[in-house]
Amino acid sequence: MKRTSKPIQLLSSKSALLNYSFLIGCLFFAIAGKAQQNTLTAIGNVSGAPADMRQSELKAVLMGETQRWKNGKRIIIALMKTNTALGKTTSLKIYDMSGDELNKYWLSLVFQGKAQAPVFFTSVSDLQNFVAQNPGAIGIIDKPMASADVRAVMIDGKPSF
Amino acid sequence: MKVLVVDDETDVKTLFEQRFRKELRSGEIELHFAFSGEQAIDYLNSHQQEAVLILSDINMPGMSGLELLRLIKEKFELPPRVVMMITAYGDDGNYNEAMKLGADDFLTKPVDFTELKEKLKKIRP
Amino acid sequence: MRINLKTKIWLTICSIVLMFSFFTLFYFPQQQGQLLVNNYENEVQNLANTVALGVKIAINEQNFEGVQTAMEFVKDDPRLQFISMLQSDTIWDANHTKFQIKQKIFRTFPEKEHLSPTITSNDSLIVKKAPFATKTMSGAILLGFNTKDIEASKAGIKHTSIVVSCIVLLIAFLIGFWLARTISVPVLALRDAARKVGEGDLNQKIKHIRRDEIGQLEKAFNKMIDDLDKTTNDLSEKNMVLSATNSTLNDTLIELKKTHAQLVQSEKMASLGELTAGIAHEIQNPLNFVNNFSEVSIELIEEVLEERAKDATERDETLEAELLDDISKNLEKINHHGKRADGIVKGMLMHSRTSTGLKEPTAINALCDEYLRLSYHGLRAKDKSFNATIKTDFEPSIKTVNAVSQDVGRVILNLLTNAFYAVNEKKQQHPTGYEPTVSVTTKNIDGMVEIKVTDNGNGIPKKVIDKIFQPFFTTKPTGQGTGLGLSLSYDIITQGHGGELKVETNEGEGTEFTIRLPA
Repeated sequence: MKRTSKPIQLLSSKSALLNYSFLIGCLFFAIAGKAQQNTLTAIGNVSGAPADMRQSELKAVLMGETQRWKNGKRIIIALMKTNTALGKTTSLKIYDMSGDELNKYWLSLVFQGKAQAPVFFTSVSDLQNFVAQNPGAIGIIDKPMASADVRAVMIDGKPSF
Repeated sequence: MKVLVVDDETDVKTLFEQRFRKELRSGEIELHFAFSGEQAIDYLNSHQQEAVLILSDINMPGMSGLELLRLIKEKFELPPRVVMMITAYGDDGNYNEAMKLGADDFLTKPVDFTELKEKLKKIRP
Repeated sequence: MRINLKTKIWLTICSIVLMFSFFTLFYFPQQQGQLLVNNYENEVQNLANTVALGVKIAINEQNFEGVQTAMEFVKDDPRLQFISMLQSDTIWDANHTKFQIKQKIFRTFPEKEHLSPTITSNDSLIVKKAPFATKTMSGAILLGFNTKDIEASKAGIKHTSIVVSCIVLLIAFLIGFWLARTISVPVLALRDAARKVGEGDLNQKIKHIRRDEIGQLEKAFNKMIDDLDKTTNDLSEKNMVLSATNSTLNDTLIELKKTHAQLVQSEKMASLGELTAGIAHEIQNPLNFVNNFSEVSIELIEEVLEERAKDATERDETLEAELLDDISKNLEKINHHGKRADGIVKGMLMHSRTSTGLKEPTAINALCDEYLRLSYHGLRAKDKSFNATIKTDFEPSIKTVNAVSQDVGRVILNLLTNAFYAVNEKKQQHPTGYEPTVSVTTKNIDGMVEIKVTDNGNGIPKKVIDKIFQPFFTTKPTGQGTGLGLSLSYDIITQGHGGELKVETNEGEGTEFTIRLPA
């Protein structure tokens, strides 16, 4: 995961646009987040996750029932840690589980080798970075975003849910 | 003539008696016999005057003839007798000894009686 | 039972190898196996720990990377039998005073394995527990690995051990064999060489001396052969010298024996010679009578014939009868004296003949008388001046004794000769006043016949008395006596007749020899 310092990166020409998009995305999300704290958005790496999915598909993916995207790339789930607000929301809304329960769930899946456990992040930007850098990654955040590598996945035609 | 014959062989007596039978018959000779030197001495002691001729053997057990000769010459000088030795040992040693002791004659056995008779004729008085 | 050197070496090497083999086949694999098991258990425990840690991190920090990696690792391991997560629940009782901890299986991989939380290791399964504790969940990771690998490894070790053991054993056998041979071959060669040397073959020197202690033995052996050779040669030479000496001694012995025989014969001849003169005289007398009486008889027959030639009237028939009687007596005397001479000759012949050793009944008195006269006359023949008084005392009751008459006669003759010599010697020293006397007596005493020859000569000096019976001992001047007389006499009486011959003497006074013969 590339750790970028936003202010410095802004000045570089190569990733200027990306960073700019990020910035806008973050502002967007901040606003969006403040505005609607219960909404979640799925973001995916452009090389892996499709542009849109149905809710059931999303669930299947997020539950670990599906291992690979249609294009064969490995599904990597990125979530916020359940000790964050977003994480808690994610865990409740999508999994209908508490953080502990979610851990247990994933633990058992990992144990049985059935799925790969999601990667949990403490900050949204880390999550976003991660998704951007990992083809096949899909993450759940509160606001949609878009960049060169990352796009929001339409769930049942809607960006958020 | 009285003759004393001294010899340890007893058959000498028979021999002399036969050899001198004529002389005995005629009385010319009277023979007496002693069978040892000791017997001869006894006889001379008891018949001193008689034997004038003594014929003695030398080799006798006990007193030898030479011993007898010596005794006769020593102790029986009178009457003077003629002593002749008759012996088988005719060797020079015996002869010289006999002569030394005064024997009158020395004859060797076997006795030649003819010779003896000749010699006796010469003695006969 | 005898264990030879080869076997000893073999046994030593084999025992060493066996000990090694034991180590290799049993102890070592066992140790190794134990090590493997320990390592394995550690490994399993570590894995379990890792997974447990991963679980703990996953639960605490929502970071599943660790546990995922660990799980990948564990799942890929072919040795995996199962991996289970146990959940520990604290169960309070109704009053919330006591609690129990119950462990239940949370998840297992692979799913089909049904386990109890209390599963433990057994022979084919290593089960390790790694506990973890978090705020939300506590439990343990139960990791079971099968021991197939270990068993396989153990088997592999054992297999290797066996192979190594066999190779070592084979090498040991070969070394042992070679070693035994290098020792036992030269030793046996030495033994064979020693045996051959013992049998006389000295051509057994060892040619190629080895360079070890056996070589020193071989060197010593060669030196021994050299010494033996030298000694044998020395002995050989000495033996030849001894042989020559022996040969000479042998010849000398033969010479001595011949000489001895000659001397004995000479002694016999000497005694015979002594007899001859006596015998000659003895024969002389009877022969004289034979001649004289036969001559006289011839004369007497002439007289008879003369008388018979006369006329009948002049014939003196008494005289004729006398004459015939005399003639008859003469013939008797002739016969008597002829026989007497014959007897003497026979006696002489018997004496000169070698004794047959046969014992015959012998009239001892007659024997003594005859030899007395013989010896007396014999001595007188030799020495004209010789004279001695002879006394005899023969016990009439003595009839015959079983004896070899010429041998006993020889003894009596010898004793008499000595007695006469002794008195003669004394007479030479004391011409007057000394009457030499020799007496011979016979008696019957205690079933033995005793013959005593006594003389009143000079006696036998003390220093000489022990030697008189020794052969070749004589007091007579050289050439006069053989010195064998008494020794032969002694042998005849004691060995020939089982009797006794003793002497008693008084120096200056006389000697008495006593013969005792068993009747």
